Amino acid sequence: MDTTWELYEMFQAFLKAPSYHLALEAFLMVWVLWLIFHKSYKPERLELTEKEKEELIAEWKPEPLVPDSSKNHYALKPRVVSGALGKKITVNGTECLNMGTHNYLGLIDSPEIKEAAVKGLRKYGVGSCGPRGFYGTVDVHLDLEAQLAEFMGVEEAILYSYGFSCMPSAIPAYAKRGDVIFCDEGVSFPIQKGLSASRSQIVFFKHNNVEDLERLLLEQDDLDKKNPKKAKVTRRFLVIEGLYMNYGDVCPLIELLELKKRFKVRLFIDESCSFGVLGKNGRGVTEHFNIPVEDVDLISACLDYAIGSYGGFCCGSSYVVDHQRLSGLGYCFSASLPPLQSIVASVAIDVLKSKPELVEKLQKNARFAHKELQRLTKLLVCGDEVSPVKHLRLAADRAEAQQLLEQIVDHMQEEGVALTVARYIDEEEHLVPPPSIRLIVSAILDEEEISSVVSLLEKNSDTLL
Amino acid sequence: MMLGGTPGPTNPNSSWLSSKGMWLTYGVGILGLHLVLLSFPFLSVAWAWTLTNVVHNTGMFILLHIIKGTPWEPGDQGKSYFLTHWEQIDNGEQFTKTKKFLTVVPIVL
Repeated sequence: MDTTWELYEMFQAFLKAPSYHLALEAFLMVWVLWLIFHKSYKPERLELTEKEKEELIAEWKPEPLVPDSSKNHYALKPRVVSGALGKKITVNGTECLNMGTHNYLGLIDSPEIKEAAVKGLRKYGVGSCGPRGFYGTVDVHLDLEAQLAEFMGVEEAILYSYGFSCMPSAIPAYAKRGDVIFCDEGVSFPIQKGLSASRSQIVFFKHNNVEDLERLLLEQDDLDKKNPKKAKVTRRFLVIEGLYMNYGDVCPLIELLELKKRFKVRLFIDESCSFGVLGKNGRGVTEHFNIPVEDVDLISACLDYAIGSYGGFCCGSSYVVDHQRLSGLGYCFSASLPPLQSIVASVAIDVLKSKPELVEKLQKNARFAHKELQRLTKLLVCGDEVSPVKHLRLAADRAEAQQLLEQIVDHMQEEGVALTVARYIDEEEHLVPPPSIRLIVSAILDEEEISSVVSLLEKNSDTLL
Repeated sequence: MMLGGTPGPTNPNSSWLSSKGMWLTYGVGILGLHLVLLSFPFLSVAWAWTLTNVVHNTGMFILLHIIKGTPWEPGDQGKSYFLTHWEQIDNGEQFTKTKKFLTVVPIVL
């Protein structure tokens, strides 16, 4: 009885309701039903007749799976080295003086390192077989990280298992879409890959040209003033190398630091070629220019070159470096450095610390080689005096520069000196440097050897060019 | 989130609203809000319904359409920095079940 009375009341309310209210309710119900049953937009599918399909199939020409490459491509006849790559290497059967590999301090031949490596091999085996997060962390990794941090005078270091992926993992961990990265044009390939992985806006400035960088920073500053809200969430980075692999020159760090402080950009330096090379004790460009290492936000380096191990590390303040333990893709997703190599790197750093005269000898050899190489008339020496990486370019521009340089290198190899032409993946590089012979000076060479190499170069370049 | 190597979607914002039982939980949430509003003695029933509607709509509007980005580190290199939650759901696909549900609820209220 009560329920029927309530239903009657409801029915009365329904009849008495104003018509706009009823119309609105009806409209809402229709809308709900439409939303529930509406299908998402699918573009019209074009149906082809059988004849059209056959035509299309007949017209189609497949692209070759492997594109044609020239018969004389250098990779088709690689020069094979047998034995260790120390001071002397046996290339294609000929024993040559090694001026092509990055054995700056000569630690490849060091007996202490070899002994430590064998002991480590017996204790730890050959690989770690796991990323750092999943049982791949061995005590030698932590020891090496602590040792590197203490050597460089920073709070923390993080170890990567592959030197090439050290900087490309570090840059995208901090720079995302919407950030701006100012980068030198002449940076090496791994850094370029890191820049494109970061998805940020990249602004290249001319190689080692501080005025160009200042102009670009001022432009960015103007843009920031016009849009301060966006500027507050944009991060700005400056990525440079300590010693440029492609050019052999040192960055103008003091001026760049001034710009960093003025425009508040974060400075990342890749010290792959300068770690163990520049500075009194081999600590890199910061020691070379006598600036406190805290001024640089992140230093990354490969252990492939001076240290003679492999892998890489990034170091800086704890606040900066710790972020990479979860965001550094090469750290989280690649297997960790084999413990054997960590021990090798550890012992190499010990050697470097106890024998700073190695670094001194290297710099002395580099300066001597630079002076000697000025004798060459047909080849131009590019690079700083103190850099062990020297690029020999043709003094006069020639069309087949690459072939001529390769001929010189072949002749030098026959006469017992192993050199290499600098190689680039032309399609992928941002700025392909001009062709050159990349000559590497190391600490284990004598002055007579350097002089004799230069004389041979003089002879070959004069006859061939 | 792909922190430290864990598997999962790069941006959990795209999929958490399609989880199992989300519709029921959402309904229970709105009911809870309504009961809280009903428990105030100075509000009549009509007011409680109106306020439920208004509070729910305003809240969802702010959360879904005004706030951009994610409260956690982006796994997709910052692509979701400039997207609202609505745009992030189902990675931008339109007219999915979740989006239809979220459109229908304010109308029903």
